[in-house]
Amino acid sequence: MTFFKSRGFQLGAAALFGATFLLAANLCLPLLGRAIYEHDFRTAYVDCAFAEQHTARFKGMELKPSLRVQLERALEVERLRCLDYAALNFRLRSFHVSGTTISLIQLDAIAREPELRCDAHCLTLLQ
Amino acid sequence: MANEPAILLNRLVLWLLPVVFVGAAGVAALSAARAAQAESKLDARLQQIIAIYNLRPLQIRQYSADPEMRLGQALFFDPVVSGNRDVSCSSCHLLSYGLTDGLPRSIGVGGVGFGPGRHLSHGLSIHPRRSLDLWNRDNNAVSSFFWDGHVEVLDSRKRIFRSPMGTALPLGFQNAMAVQSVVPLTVPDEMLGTYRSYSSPALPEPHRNQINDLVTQHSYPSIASMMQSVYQRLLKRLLGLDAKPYPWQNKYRQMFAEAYPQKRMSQISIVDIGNAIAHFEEMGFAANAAPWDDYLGGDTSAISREAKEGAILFYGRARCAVCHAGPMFSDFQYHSVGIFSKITVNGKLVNDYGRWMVTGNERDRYRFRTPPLRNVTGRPLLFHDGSSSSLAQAILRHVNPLARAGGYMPDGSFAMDRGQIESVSPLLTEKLALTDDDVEALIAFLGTLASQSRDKSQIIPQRVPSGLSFIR
Repeated sequence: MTFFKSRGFQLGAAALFGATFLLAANLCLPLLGRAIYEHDFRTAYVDCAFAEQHTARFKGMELKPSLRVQLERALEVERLRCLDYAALNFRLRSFHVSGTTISLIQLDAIAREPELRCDAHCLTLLQ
Repeated sequence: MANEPAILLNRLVLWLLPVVFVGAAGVAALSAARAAQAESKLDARLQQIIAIYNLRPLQIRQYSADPEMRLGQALFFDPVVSGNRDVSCSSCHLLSYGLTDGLPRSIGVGGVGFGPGRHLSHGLSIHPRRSLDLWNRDNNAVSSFFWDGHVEVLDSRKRIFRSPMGTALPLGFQNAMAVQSVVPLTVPDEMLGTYRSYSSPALPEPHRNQINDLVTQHSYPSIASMMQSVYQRLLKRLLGLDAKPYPWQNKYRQMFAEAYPQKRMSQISIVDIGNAIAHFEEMGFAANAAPWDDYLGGDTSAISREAKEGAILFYGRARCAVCHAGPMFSDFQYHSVGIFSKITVNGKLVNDYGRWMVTGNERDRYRFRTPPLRNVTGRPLLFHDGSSSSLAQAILRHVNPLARAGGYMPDGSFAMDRGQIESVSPLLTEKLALTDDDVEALIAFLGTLASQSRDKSQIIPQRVPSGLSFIR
């Protein structure tokens, strides 16, 4: 019993407990990050991909100059979602979510959007 | 000993209760903080949008009731200005129906009743288009009037306007709204009526059973000559220039003299009538700042969270602001959004070609002017033919303008022919995915464009000089 009450044992146990907690926290961190940010990340990613797609499609469209100005503004607003995407991407990474996991989330998000063609501009987002 | 588990349980509960309470309070505080954070994110995004579009609150001019306004008010509500003394401007522009009449296609001459209950009793056909609202039409952004822009500003500095009168349009109109206000007076199915028709025997003296003296012949050499003739006749009627004036004509003489003291009665022209009506419309139908204007002015609590989401959609992904641009939410340009062009006139299906009927330019076929969206939630019907009865329906028709293109009309023809399908704006044919929530958010945003004008009692007169009853 005296062994269990010794200072050395108590310090060792505390260190072991602390290490276990840190390990668990480190392992759980990506899960926590995904729980908090994955939904927003998915929607931001899909919105951003759509914005890029719309920008590409409207690029060659023949329009009156005044209409073109307004359209460019609308597309610029739509592309603001890409800033959200970038911010959420950073947040996920800060929670130690791996790049592979993020790419898989993105691919899954695209697969669920039949209207979203994953062409060149879309693939750049995956890199 | 027997009570030991119960005591332990009690102690546990006593310890757990505060923990649960603190936990619940924490969760509530966390969710409130998240909601506040989400709202501030929306505000931050809207600030970016405001910067991109350079959005500003609507500027509203302040007017006081002056003699010209009172004259315009009388002319706006008085049916005596119409051929058979039965239709006034207010017959189709009612405050209670968002300054429209709530009908898919307006009924002028020969109409009985008011608002959506108005119906044709005799005479001419129903007007081919829905009546437009008149909110804030004095705004500098407003450059054209009517669904096809047959009155529009050609040079604002020199005050040159397009009108059906062409080059015969007299000088002196203050703005395009003044030109616009006198055009319906000359349209047979709106206010003019027909040759050799009579006013109703039910009208009070001296208006009953009067021949339509505004139309003096079956046909005229040109539209301009017809309009000139009608305007001259109308002035004679209003001012009693041909014979001893009636008391009601003396009242108008007095009002004109007060409104335009520098002019002799013989110098009064249709220009003065137009300017007076326009001046009244400027004052009476100047909607005050809407919640969206308050938001643009810096009050972030002026609109709901859903409306903020709608605004982001409106200016972004939904691309509404491409055409519904500027302070009036219209670019005052012409677009085809796939509304069926075929309408029934006198039992026959005819095409309404919109802007093409003004310009003759093939590119303008099926195009109509973008309607302004201020106070749009107060309009019972939407589009130029009143074919949508809800904002949700109208939004969804923009999303998929060709959805019903393959349908058939009563005569067996396609609802939309190839020419009309090809005319639809490419901005709309590019597929747009909007969820039900998106549509709800857009409607919430459009709701923030609603505002009231001044008190009804200041707009609607108790009586009009002619003594005729009028639609309020």
